[in-house]
Amino acid sequence: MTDVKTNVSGFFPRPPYLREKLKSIGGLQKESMKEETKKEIIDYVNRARNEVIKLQNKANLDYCSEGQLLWDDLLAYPATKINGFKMNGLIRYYNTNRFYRTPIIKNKLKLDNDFIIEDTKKAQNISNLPITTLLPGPFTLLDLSENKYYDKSYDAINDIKKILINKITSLEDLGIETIQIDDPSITKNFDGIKRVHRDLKDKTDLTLIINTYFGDATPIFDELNDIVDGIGLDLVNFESNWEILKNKKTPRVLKLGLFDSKNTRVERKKKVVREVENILEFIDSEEIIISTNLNLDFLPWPVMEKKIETIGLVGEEF
Amino acid sequence: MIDTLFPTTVIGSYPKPKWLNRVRELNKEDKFSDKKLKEAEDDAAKIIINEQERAGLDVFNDGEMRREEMVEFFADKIPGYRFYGPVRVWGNNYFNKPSVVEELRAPDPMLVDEFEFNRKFASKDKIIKVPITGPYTIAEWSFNEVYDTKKELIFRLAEIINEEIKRLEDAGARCIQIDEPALSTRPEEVELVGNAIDETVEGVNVDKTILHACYGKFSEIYPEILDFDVDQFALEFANNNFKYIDALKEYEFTKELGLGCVDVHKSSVESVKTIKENIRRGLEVVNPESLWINPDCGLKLLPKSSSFKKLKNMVKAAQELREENI
Ligand SMILES: [Zn+2]
Repeated sequence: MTDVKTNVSGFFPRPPYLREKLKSIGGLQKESMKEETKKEIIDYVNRARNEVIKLQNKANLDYCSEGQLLWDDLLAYPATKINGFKMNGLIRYYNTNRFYRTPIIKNKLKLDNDFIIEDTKKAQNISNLPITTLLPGPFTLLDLSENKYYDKSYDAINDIKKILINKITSLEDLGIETIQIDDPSITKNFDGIKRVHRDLKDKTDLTLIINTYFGDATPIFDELNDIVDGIGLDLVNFESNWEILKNKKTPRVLKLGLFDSKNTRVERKKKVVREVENILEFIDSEEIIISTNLNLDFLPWPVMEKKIETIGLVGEEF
Repeated sequence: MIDTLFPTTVIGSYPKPKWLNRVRELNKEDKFSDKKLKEAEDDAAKIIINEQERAGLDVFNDGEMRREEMVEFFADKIPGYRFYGPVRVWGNNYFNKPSVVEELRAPDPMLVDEFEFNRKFASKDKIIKVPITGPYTIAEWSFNEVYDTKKELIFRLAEIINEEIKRLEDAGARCIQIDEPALSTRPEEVELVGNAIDETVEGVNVDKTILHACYGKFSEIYPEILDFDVDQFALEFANNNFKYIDALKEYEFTKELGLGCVDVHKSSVESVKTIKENIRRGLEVVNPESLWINPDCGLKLLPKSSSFKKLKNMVKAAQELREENI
């Protein structure tokens, strides 16, 4: 019997008041921010986090995302908290019309400031649903950065791994049960996928879901499936990912990206229910999570709300 | 169309007066009527037309005083589009990305009033350039809820824009510039863009059709773009230090070149000498008769005073070269 759960991929769009506030102070990553301003921002972020957590609770999802409202993109937030990175100019984010600032590795990567932990605690305090936390995947962090320090990418990925393990352990101490690791670049099939993700997994009992998108997961699926608890698949943009479901042994937890974060058209409940029923016939996972294919910040706020509501309604059918 | 060597022009946008932005804000908050906004836009347009005349340009417009954003402006006028709210472009920068929610229908004239106004208030010996966002860029920056493929959407938009260009031609426009900043971002789609551009200018008989592209790795779309059915390519060069000029030399450049010779991302004003050197780089690609002089891209993000000074120096550089050449 497979448990059917629901969630979203996290990374919410910012509500207007938070955007305006950040605009008025000229961006987040200012080094010389006054304590007073910092406090103010924290208040605005708390308010926005409350709002997105409420949405997920109201829609009766099974897991709740913290929201990642402070994150400018998948890399900037962690990279500004890790020693050794310097932020550089804007570059196109995969094959999208979005841009991100390239982190440059200038020095040995070491954890500097806390990140994620405080935000996660706050989310836990206000959500009745269990919180899933998001971490950037090691291969993506390295792939989208410019390495000007390490001679071998092996050493770079090892240091990134250490930082992630530190975070995973702290999150486990907080009682977090599931972490979603967004690793879109992993589909480019780098060396060492097995080793790195096994090392992450070995240090913890909580469930790690490696979320893939922007690429076909087929070439790396088997390798990943051998070692991790969970895998996320984009089932909107990659027809080939459906073949994985039909033909391969699936992981213990399967995150199904059936809702498209890159289109404002809201999915029809009945259609998704049928898709899930269909999937249940040919997979052997313990748990599936009906979800979005990728970050919600590709959507305007009202459409994001509508999609969350619909995911909740689909979940009620199972 | 124009008998001087090295015609000087702009790509389109110019910094807006602060009061115009304020009036627009108040209009959005319903504190200022549409009529008052229109008045403010008219005033701003006259000022910018005058400013560009004083800079000495040959071909220009109103600095797009009536337009806020190059996709939003058109999507707002085409029935079938809807705005749900802003979407992140990067960091804390959001853009009102429109969604196609019904099959697109023919809009009322979108730019004819603007053109007629500009024509009326610019000196008769000057030429008005009308920038219009191309079908590929509008489609690329829209959500598509309706059409089965992006291609279908692009070609529907090409029809709509073609219709608009014909209206402009009927109103007396002689110089149309299609803006496709998205062109060089997806080099693998260059053929699709070309077909869409051909459709966009189908049956158009204005004196000059120009295609503007920026942020580009032009080496990846060259020489394919030479097949596009336009007279001129206005491209960005100054910002990337003429990185792609050599690539353009590999094949005979069979069109006119609009040479981006001042940077729109740096407010420091290039000297006349520097601009002259930049223009000479353009002459490595085309004959003097085929070279137009323009900034890399729209000027709207620059401080007002450096916009004006950049244009003035650009005009002076062209002038000096004309004298040296003839
Ligand atoms: Zn441009």
